[in-house]
Amino acid sequence: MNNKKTSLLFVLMLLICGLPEAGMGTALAQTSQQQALTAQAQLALWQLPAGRFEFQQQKWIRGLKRPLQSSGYLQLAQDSLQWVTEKPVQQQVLLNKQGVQQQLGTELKLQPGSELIGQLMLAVMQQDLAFLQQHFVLKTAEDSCVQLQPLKAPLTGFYRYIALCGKERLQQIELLELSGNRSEIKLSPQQAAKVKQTTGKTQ
Amino acid sequence: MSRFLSPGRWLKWGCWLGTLFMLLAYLAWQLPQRHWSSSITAAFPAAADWQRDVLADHNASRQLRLVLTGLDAETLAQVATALQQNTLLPSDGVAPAALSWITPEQQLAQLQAYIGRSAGLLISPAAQQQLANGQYAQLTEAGWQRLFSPVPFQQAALAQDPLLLSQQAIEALLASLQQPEQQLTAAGGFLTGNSDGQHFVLLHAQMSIDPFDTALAVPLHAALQQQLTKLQQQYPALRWYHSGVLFHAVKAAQRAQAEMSWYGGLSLLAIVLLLGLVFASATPLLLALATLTTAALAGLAAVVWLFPAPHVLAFVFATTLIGVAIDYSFHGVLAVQQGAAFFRRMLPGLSLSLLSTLLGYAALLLLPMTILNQVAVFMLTGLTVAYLMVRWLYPAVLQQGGLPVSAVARRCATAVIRCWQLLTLRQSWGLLLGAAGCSVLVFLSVYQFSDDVRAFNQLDPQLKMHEQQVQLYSGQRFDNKFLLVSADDPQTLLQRESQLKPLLQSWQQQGGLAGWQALSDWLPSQQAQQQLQQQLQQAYQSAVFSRYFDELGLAVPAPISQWLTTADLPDFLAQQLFQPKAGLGAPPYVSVILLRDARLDAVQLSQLPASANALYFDPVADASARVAAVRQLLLQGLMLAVSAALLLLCWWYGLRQTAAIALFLLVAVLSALNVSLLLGQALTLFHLVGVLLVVALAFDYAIFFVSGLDTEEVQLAVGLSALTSMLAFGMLAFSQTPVIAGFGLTVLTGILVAVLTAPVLIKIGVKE
Repeated sequence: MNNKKTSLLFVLMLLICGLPEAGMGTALAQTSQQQALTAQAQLALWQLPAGRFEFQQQKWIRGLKRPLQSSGYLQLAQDSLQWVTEKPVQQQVLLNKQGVQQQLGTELKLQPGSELIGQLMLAVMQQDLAFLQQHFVLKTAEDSCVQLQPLKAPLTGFYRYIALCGKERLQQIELLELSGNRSEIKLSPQQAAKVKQTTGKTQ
Repeated sequence: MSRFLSPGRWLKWGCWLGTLFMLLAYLAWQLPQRHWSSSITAAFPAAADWQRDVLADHNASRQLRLVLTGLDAETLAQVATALQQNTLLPSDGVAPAALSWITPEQQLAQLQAYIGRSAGLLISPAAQQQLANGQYAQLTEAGWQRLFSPVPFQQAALAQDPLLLSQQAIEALLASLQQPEQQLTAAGGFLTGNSDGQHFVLLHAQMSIDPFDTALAVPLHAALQQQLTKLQQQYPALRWYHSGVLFHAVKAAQRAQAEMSWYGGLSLLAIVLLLGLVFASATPLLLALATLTTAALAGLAAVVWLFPAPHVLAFVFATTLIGVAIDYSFHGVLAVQQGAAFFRRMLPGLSLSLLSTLLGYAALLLLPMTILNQVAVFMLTGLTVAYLMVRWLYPAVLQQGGLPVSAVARRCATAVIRCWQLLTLRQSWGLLLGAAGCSVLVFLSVYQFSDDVRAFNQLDPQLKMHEQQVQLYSGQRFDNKFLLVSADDPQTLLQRESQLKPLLQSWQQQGGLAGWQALSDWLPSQQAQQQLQQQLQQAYQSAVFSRYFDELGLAVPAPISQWLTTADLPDFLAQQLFQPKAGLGAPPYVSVILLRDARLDAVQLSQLPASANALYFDPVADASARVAAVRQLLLQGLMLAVSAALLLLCWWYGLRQTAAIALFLLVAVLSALNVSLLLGQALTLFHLVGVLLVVALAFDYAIFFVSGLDTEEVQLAVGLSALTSMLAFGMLAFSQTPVIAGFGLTVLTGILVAVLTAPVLIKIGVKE
């Protein structure tokens, strides 16, 4: 009889504990769905037009006492992104669906195995929702940010998360690598004067 | 009746059954303990076989690739994942862990680990040059560029390799391996790509089983096909292409099995029908089968007793026993029907036939090739046993006139003999000489030999299409040609490989080579690693490097004393290093340099420095050369055997009869070869194996026709023997495997010509 009572109590306890959890689970699922929808809407708002953007990058590398700082500009086109570092070293990197091509001497050399990184960076800049949803869980985060958490390998082997932040436009990209390295890239549209100056120089 | 119940008869039965029992008992005891050699390379004479051992261990033959296409990218990914997750169960007959999928992530993880381990010990040739020239600014600039690159890097290496030299070296190596025409992206366990707007998935798997082991390969192949078919039912638009030795091996095994059952069944049915029509009794067939079984068991027992590792191929060559033993059997059966006196008169012919064939096969014992020695032992024993059975058992088992021969068969035999008797002696000689002359002329004008092993087996068109499609989707792979470098220890091996690099580069510039993959590109010798460390430590003291370290906030890396070894290599590289089995002149360590698009001529190959201990190895060319060597040996053996038999006949019958037999033999053999040649086939080793059977049977026919026996009886026995042999072997002429078809056609035409022309010897061959 005692045993029966104990079993009944145990079941009741399970029910009492489980009910709110089940309710919480549904609520959580609803929340994450809502978050994903909000994140998608946010990303749609941030869609960058083709053009030139200045950037300032800070890269925290584990084992280094201070962050590495660099600056330059990004030239966004429909199917490629040119990443030009001007300071402290001159460097040109071309990212597209074929991968990441780094300038070595006078020619651009494709980095093997970088196809996904190329597609990823392009998708992040262009807010390519289809690509991002395929590879990441999207959710809203603090400070007007959208956090992208990799869904599957090989991205899960590289990044812990990518955060895109901004108010009316995309202002900052944060990349947290699995190794602990973190990059913070601040974006600002190219100033008209500077564009003219650069165009003049090119001419 | 009294003779049937005589103790002598029972004694003979008892002796036969006792022998059969002893043979079976010996073989049942010995066979499970024996290692049967089935490797084609083991059949060839060679001083050093380690090259073939190395490549047999090279696991390319245990890999398979699968391309899935026809669906959108997302559905393809689902199909690929389903395929990878469906385990092939032992309940389907598949060996446990027979197939494992190789994921790009596994390879990436191994590469990342290697980048970390090789930090400060590996450098690209370009950076090495800059370091040697003191161009430190370029090196630090490249370091900065890599650090600022948006592509993640192996951070763990930074403390030991602040310039990220090993990472850059490995990236350069990977870039040199990448095919520009094909872009493949790693995506959750497989590679994806796009070809002409069509998405595709490329899967890569490794087998733990030998694809040539049909007992294991066939169930694996069936289970894989079943899974793919199931997926296609679910996604009708799904298309797949596969590539790998497994598919070819299983197809070849299935084809061989189908041909064996189809042709074997048909031949057996035809032989049973033939003997049923001629004798209206099962006794001759049962006697022939009993003779053949006992002879084959005795032959096998002798081979097992004398050779520690019998070769399967020896028994393919030894199938000639069937033809000759059946011939003896028919002569015995027919002779017993004519009475004891006739049987006794038949015996000298039978003995001479045996002696000439034994002498011929004994000549094979003199050749330095184990497989032919095994054939000789098998045939010498088997034929002797067949002869003894015909001589001692047949008169005891059969009764005179107990097996009346069908009148039709007898009339046919008489008609053939009468036809030939229409010719005069001069005409017979003229015909024989004319036929021999024509055969020789035709042969000399059209003969060509081919030892190219690629032509031995016809590639299935469906499988060929699959291979081509996979090649198209996945890009070009390394050739089936290699450079093998050998040494006593891994360090010397790596040094020798490095020594070859200038030559490889020069071949590449000359267009003789599109690329290569060598161990030493990834793993420098310890000497080279020490030298690099010294150079780096020296460079670290420079002002350029001090500024670089200051800006990074890094301390000067401490000297490294734990060197990279072969144990650190990722799997895909480790499989290029071998430790061949001791013996056969094998060196302790061998590395395989993989080549791409190699078109190297003899002059270029002669540039290989002797000190590098390198050997260019083309397995197809090597196998072809070995087949050529076997063919030469077999040809020599055949000539020796025929000469020995002719000498014996010359002593027994005299020069004129022997000359006639030699001409008859020439006509039979060359006609058989000419038919193949005129049909556009080049002669191969297997045509010669067919010739071996034709020669053995033609000798028998010739001896019986010149032995002075009743020619109609001889014609009947020879005709029946020829028909059964043609039915047994001739069917093979329709095989889809070119070499088997060549063997079958040679035997079919050779025996046909021999049986039709042998009666010409009656007039010429009669002893004056």
